[in-house]
Amino acid sequence: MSFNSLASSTFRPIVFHTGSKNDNANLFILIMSKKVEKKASYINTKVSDVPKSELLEAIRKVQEQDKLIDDKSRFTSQSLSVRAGR
Amino acid sequence: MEYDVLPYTPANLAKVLAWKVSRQSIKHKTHYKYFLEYFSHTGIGAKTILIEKNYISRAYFSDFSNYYSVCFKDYPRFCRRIHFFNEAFDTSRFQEELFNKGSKILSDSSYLGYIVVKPLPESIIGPTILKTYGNDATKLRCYNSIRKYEVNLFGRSFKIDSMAYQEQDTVVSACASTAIWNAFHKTANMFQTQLPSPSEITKSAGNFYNHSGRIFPNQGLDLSQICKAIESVGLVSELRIEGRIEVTENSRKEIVKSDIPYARRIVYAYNKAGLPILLFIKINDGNGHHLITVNGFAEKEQEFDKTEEMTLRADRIEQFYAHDDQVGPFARITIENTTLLKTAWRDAKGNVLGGSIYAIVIPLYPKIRITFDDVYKKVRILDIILYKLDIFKYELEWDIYLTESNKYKEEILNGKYETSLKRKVIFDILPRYIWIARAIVKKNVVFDLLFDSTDISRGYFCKDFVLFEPSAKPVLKKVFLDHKDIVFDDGYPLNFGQDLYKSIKRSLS
Repeated sequence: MSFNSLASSTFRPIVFHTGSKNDNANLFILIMSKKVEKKASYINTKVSDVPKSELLEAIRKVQEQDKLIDDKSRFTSQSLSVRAGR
Repeated sequence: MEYDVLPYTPANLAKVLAWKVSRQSIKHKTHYKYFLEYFSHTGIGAKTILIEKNYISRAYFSDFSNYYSVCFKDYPRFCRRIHFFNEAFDTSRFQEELFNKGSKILSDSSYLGYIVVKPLPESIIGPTILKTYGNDATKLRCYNSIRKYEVNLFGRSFKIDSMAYQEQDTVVSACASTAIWNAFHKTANMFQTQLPSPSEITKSAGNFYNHSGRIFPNQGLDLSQICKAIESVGLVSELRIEGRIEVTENSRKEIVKSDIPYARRIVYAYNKAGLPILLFIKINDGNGHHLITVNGFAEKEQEFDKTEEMTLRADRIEQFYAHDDQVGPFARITIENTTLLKTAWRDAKGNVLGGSIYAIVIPLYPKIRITFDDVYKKVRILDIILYKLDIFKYELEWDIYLTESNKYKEEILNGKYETSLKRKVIFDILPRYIWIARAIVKKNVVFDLLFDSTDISRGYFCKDFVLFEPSAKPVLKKVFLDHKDIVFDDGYPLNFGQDLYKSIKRSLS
């Protein structure tokens, strides 16, 4: 097993080699260190506390706007009979 | 001799195209003017023309059989094929190089493609395969609907990435059949469907007698006929109509108000998978409608302000590239504003003509059932939740597109991601086509949502969640776990389902 395979999303291995280059018997010390994620600068540290009712109202509004998209799939046979012939 | 070699000059281009017509008529042709720019040093840079004097074109041969062979006049069966190279050589050099296996002047890098010249009056531009323009510092050009062609010439073969183009012949095909033929060149390659000739496409469209006239000579196809022609090869048509026809007792009024922001998004979403898009446009010269085949687009760098409105990667598109049978291959269609396009057409004074989009037709593989609109509506809700909870400091940009799952896996496998993330994606069992909604902030990919394109729109078609930015876990927990009911539960608008909840919960733990 390689030391790399010990790495996970939570821990990272730190390995110390105690022997010299010519030693036949090598001794390794392995420390599994907890990964500290550096927070991406574009993410806000604090999330706004928005009541559920407000979120649902915002969702309702965008759904209302999106109904316009459905109109593009509704048409009459008159609209279908327009010919492309340039 | 079976061939001629000429240096590329505008005069020689006119000469080789004027096989059965006069040079004067060639010089007045829009296509000739378009090709002059295309082959120039600012275009793809042609230096040599080679004329293959006898060439059998499969598409023309079929049209010949369907119409021209039974005319009283004796139309020839053979065409001419004009090849273009970006290396300068003459006849004697060509004869030497033809037998030189490692020839630089006869190589894939020097070969620019060909134009078949048909032996017909006026409509002479037959199947044409040309290299596309490259990218430059100012513009990112994406020609998504090109495919590989192998061109054989006197025992040599050249590989070229392009999309076949031709001009309508006004007899067996008008613009609509020709645009569909262009599109089928890509769909046949993608889905192993048939590749009928323009005359066969016109015949397959049938005649619903919505207009006067006959199938042949053809004066165009209406939207019903276009969709029927697409279905005749085993594909389905995803149709959106912007235009409205209002009929009253005394008048018939057509109202076309293009929604170009929507068109930009739907074209991007399907074209990124390689699918050609048929744009049914109305050119603002009062002379009716036209069908063109969009095969790519150009994007520009843009910063978006953080607003409640949803931003998509597609909003960066400033131009479509389209095969316009009346102009040329990969013609530029510029987006002027939210309702108006600048077409590739010009009036008699040389002014660019504007146009609007009447309808959009996407030829699709039948198993791709979930539409862009289905995915968009789900992501739109998630976007407003992320906005209201103020998760990101800058505008969140969504990249919504259809793709082959194997291409997606390849992208993740070759990307700079952790092995655990790669394993999660590449071992996932996915349908052939999936929809991706990628959340991006300031060019950083935060996460992907994967949607099953074969599912039903009322089902739980959001299949998976892939987190790229581990430090986003705490804030995303607030969205997906604290508001579990809104995102996953039945009866709420997103309705992502409990299976996805478990998967996201695992990813965020």
